[in-house]
Amino acid sequence: MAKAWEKVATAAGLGGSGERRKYPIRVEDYELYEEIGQGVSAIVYRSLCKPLDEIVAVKVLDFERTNSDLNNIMREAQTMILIDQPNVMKAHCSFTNNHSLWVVMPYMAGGSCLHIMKSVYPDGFEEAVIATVLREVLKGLEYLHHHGHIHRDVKAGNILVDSRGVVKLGDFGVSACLFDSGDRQRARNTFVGTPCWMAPEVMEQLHGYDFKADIWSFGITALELAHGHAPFSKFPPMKVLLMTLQNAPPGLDYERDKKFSRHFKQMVAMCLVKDPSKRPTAKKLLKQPFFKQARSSDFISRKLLEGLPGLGARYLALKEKDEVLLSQKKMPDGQKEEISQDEYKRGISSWNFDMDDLKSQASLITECDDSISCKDSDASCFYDLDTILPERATGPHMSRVFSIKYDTDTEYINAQDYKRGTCKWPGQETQLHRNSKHQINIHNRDKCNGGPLQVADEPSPEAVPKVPKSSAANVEDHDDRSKPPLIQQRGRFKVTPGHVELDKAHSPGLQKSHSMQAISHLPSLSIPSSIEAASTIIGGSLYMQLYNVLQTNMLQREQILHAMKQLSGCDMAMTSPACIAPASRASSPSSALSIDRSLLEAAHEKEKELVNEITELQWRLVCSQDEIQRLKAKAAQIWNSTGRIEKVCVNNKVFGGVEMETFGISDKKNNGEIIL
Amino acid sequence: MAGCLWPCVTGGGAAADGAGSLFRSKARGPVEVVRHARELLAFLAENHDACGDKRDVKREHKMVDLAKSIGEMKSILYGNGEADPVDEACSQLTKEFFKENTNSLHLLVVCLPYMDLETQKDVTQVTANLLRQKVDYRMVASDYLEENQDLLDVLMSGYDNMDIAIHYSAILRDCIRHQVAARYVLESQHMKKFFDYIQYPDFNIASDAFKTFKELLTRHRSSAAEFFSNNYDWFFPEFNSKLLSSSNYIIRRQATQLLGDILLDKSNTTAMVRYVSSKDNLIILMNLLREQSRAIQVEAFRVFKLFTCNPKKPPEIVGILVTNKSKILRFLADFTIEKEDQQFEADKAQVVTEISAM
Repeated sequence: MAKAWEKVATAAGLGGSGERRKYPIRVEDYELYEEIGQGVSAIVYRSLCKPLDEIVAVKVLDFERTNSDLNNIMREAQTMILIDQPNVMKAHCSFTNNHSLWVVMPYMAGGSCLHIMKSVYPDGFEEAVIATVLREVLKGLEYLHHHGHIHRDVKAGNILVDSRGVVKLGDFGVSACLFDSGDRQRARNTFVGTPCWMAPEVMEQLHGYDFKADIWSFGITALELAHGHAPFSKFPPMKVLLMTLQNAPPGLDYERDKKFSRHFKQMVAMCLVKDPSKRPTAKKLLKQPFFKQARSSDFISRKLLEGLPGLGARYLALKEKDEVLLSQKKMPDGQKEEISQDEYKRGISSWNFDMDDLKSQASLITECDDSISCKDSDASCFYDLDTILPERATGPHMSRVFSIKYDTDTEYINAQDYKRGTCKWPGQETQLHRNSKHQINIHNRDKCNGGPLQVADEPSPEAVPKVPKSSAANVEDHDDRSKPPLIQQRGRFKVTPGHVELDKAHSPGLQKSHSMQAISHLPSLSIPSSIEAASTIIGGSLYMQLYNVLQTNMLQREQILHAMKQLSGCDMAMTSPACIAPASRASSPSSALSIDRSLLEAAHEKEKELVNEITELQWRLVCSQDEIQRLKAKAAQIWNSTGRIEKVCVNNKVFGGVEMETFGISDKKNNGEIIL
Repeated sequence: MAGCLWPCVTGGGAAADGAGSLFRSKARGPVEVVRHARELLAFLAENHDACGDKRDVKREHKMVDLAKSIGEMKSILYGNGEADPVDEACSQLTKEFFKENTNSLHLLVVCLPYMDLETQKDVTQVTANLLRQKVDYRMVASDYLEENQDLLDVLMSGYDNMDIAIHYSAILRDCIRHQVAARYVLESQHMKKFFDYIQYPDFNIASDAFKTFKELLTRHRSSAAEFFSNNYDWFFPEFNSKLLSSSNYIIRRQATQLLGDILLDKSNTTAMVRYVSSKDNLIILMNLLREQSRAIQVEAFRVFKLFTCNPKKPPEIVGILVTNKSKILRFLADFTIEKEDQQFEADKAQVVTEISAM
């Protein structure tokens, strides 16, 4: 006891002598100044070490308020006391005072990078600053990993800057040491960290993790410094966990982040690889070309700290800002983060994090999105029906005027269909591409349907060339459609009026039945079962395409029905001239011939017009049906591959049923016509 | 052990980096690495007195070389950033390290004070690993420790030197994982010194000493039980006065927790019965129940319940409990913990029943 005190006194008296400076371990030797930081159970003060006349930071940790075990506190304090690297925060000494542990540390006048960003650079730092800060952090990580430590909480909030611009990695509250048991542990398993920065393998808890988890956090921190916030930072913790596991890794966008160099983007991409064995070590990362632009600590001092108010003042300013936001009933960042942390902790204690559970939760989200998509489609369908009804209502009146209007409406509908097709097909092409690459169903559906969930996705450069290709495909499709009607027209033009009548007799019943059957089956098809929702992403996507094609087919059938109605009207017109003809013939033969000829000509012209339209619509119907068959076969194949044989049977039965019933009704109708 | 308190190496880190890059391509086998390190350690042990005004260039070079060799040993035993350790190499290294008449571990421990901090940390980790290695299914470290128990005396003396206390304490803790070493320390006079080490004002040294102390009293149950049986008369009074009644909050809390661990261990039933039959002990525990600290109260309750549930309570114990019956019941009624704990509630109910029946 006395020995220890004597040594301390001697060391203090000697001042700078000896390799390491001795800091006093008595409360009376320190004077606490203003508060500069706050944690769950600790407050950090700027302080004066009187014997050494040096400004230090003192972290006062209340043992009664901390939830963690005493062993954790001891481990953290000891880890920090043994640090000997300029880029890692060390502790000079620590001692107890009543219920508190006092940890004496270097004073980092600049505060954390998070603080600096919030104060002055809300949209992030410039690249040279980022490179310099990250290089220093990387040196610290290399040191820690060499000693078997995993930091487990690398983020901007834990990157501190001192008055001379020296960057240090701080806070070892949740760190772990792979070498603690005197053996090389293959991996740790504790679920710990901050959600946005946590590596996927830390969340999965399948094979454990090692210091490569810090490299992922380092990559997220790079994005944080570049954008002013971490990706997914606005989402609640559980959402962040699911997105980290399911989404493609975040990165710098080649379009949005043009101001950043290719080297920076590559460095980030190297860190954010989901397979930890493919991530580089800290040592290897330091050799990346991105870090060649890193500069000295003086540069950091000039760029970030010049003109910056004192840490205590900034701390108070942020506190006041939080209070103002709180009074306005808005969620301040700190509060939001705290609530986020609370939810996160609650999640840990009350939820099971094995992989199956996470997957089922993900499928629930998928199902929810399916519902939204279906509603959108239903709304669209309803709108289409509305546009059709007015046309029917005006049918009986003013046949000639109606005819003119009908032509105009037909063109309008065609244009609408074309535009809709143009919008959909390129999107669908992109959708297929992205699905195959990212396996992201939620994202693509949201983007295509404008759902409420807006998941930010960074399209890869490879997606860009696809757009022109799909446009070209669309153009080709249009060309193909325009050719057949011409041929058909030529063929039909030669058919005698008698043949036309025969066609008329068959067509109305057939088409009407088709439409009615399609409408009657729509409800069951439009509501996906939960099982269906949980099926593979590709299956779900194909379902949507099938649904869209069915919609198109139904619309086309309606148009054909209208054409048939118009033809009937024309027939009536033809009948009335026949009645008039005999009367005219009695009074004047030449007059009768003249009337008959003009009526015949008019009828022929109308017939020609309608035949053209019918031909075109029939062709489009055939194309739609072909596409349905093709997609159905494709879907069946995919369902088979996922082992859902029953689903295939059910699906076939449904389609088969429609066709069978249609055929039966058609026969009946045909018989009726013959009798008539 | 005599010599300088601080390593005299300056700029060792930078030089080591240079040395590392210079010799990177040359990879030596585990046996060669150990032999080379041993030669360097032997030289250092003989020449450590050179410390002072005179700067010995040769000695500094050897220090740098030693740091590099120890780094190589660590790399073999723990692997590096890319590769896991190879069992055969670890085995060879361990066999050579503990070879008879070489005394490598002793040399390593004796020379540790003269190394820089980074090398000291590496030594701690290397030692921890070696003391766990098996060679041909034998724990060679156990054999070594049985033959060289004087090493434990050297390690125990480390608490007197603040610079190396943490490192020596860590190595000692790894040594006493072997029962031969633990038994030696328990039977030595060193046990009494722990009560002073634990009260050091430096939190890191004090908490590390306590950690080692706890390990000695809980890891090897039969040795601990024997220790309590043979030393009950001085040990627990010392425990009560210096630890449970310490003015230091953290010491009281740690000690109360450790007391619970000791008495609740089935191996220590004999000591437990004696402890809960003492009026003085009861008074101390009841005072701990009145602490402002909820954490201490919870730990104290774990021991207090043993007094109340003792079927053969001495009259003086009964007297104190009866006298304070209403106060105890009132205390227990308000005594709760944050997390729901069925065991805690069951224990409390049992204590209430016992007290009420008096």
